[in-house]
Amino acid sequence: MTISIIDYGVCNSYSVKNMINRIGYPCNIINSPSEIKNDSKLILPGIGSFDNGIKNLKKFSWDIYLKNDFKPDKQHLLCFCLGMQLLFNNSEEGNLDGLALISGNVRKLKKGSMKIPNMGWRNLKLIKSHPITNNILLEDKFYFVHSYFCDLDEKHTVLAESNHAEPFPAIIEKQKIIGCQFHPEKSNIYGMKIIENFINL
Amino acid sequence: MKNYHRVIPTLLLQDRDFVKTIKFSNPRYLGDPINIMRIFNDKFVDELCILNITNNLKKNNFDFLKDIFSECLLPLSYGGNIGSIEDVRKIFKIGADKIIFSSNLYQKPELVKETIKEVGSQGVVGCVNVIENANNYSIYLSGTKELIHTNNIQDKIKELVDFGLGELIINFVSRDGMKSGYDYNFIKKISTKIGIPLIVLGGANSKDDFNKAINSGANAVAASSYFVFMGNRDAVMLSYNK
Repeated sequence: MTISIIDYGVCNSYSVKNMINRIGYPCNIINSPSEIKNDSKLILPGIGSFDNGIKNLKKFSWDIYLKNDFKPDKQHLLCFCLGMQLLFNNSEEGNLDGLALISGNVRKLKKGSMKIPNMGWRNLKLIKSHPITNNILLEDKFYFVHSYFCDLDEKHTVLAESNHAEPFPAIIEKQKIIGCQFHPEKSNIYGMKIIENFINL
Repeated sequence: MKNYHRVIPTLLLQDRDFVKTIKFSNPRYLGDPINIMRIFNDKFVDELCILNITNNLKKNNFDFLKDIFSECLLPLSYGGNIGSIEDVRKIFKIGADKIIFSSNLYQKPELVKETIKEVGSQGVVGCVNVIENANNYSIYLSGTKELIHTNNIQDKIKELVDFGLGELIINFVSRDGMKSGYDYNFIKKISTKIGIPLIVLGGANSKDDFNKAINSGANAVAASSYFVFMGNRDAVMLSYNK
């Protein structure tokens, strides 16, 4: 197995690499789909705005790879934050089309009495059991920083929720794609559990 | 304090050392950055903030910063002489999660806006240095050491926030290292004017100070002395008591 981190410009690929190395696995940062091997487990990190993310994916032909060549029933893909949002049809944050690997839209968080962005450490409410959440406890905390959330058409694919004025999906699955709205690579020992679970899938 | 509010140790980088200042002067050496980052990471702090205060910093040493950042498996914000969009990209790539703009809020507002467009609001923090003098507040420009906007600074701050910043740090410069507590009245006024998370820095000496700041309307508290000194003689001792 090879763990490959997709680097498409504005993303914190080194943070992800650091954490995987700390867990005790080698990994590589790749810039082009041609660097993917047959046994690659892919990680798509993400920071920033929706349109900028899509533009950068296109720059390196990642959009074509993910839409046409990637096989969600066979290949493992773990996405963080914007990385996950880019897989949806579109986003209220931007005008460009998303990759539409998962059906649904990315919407702005409701403000309520809370401030936006939703920023800080939150617990998860586990909805459905899945190996990605093995050993995750109720008191474990994860780092969130986002203003938008994924509104899925298929609600049953939500594995865990968090809350900001209203509940929103924190971990989702679609075949072998796992998406986290929070940043496991910045969630210290708790994030390590998620990434280690992914490596063990 | 509720777990919900972040408590953020703030580290001042001067050349290749972490230092602690008083009113942002008289830097005192704290220790090797890599070591200090490792210790705070192991103490599982909510978030870390690094401000580069090197005099006449012309260019960031990205290789060095990459080494320090790699010790941190936690949210990390960095500020100090980020002068171009290329700098922004590099800082994110090597592992920072947020960029802090201070002087460039006034000197290069276009860069701040461009950064927000590229990385999103949540990745951009504004840091406003506030100096209080006989109930009169001014904004202090750390680079050139001059006072700007000596009137109605709350309106000016609101204008900066409207760039699309994700968070705002109010840095009470006249309280830095003084252990006199934050300026709660100021926090009360500004927190109702802005719709983004407010972080306060400068003057904290106890958990009580943190609580008062939160109760006054801050969403997160940052501190330096409190996490690096111990006892009356200010022995260097890194701790993280929330």
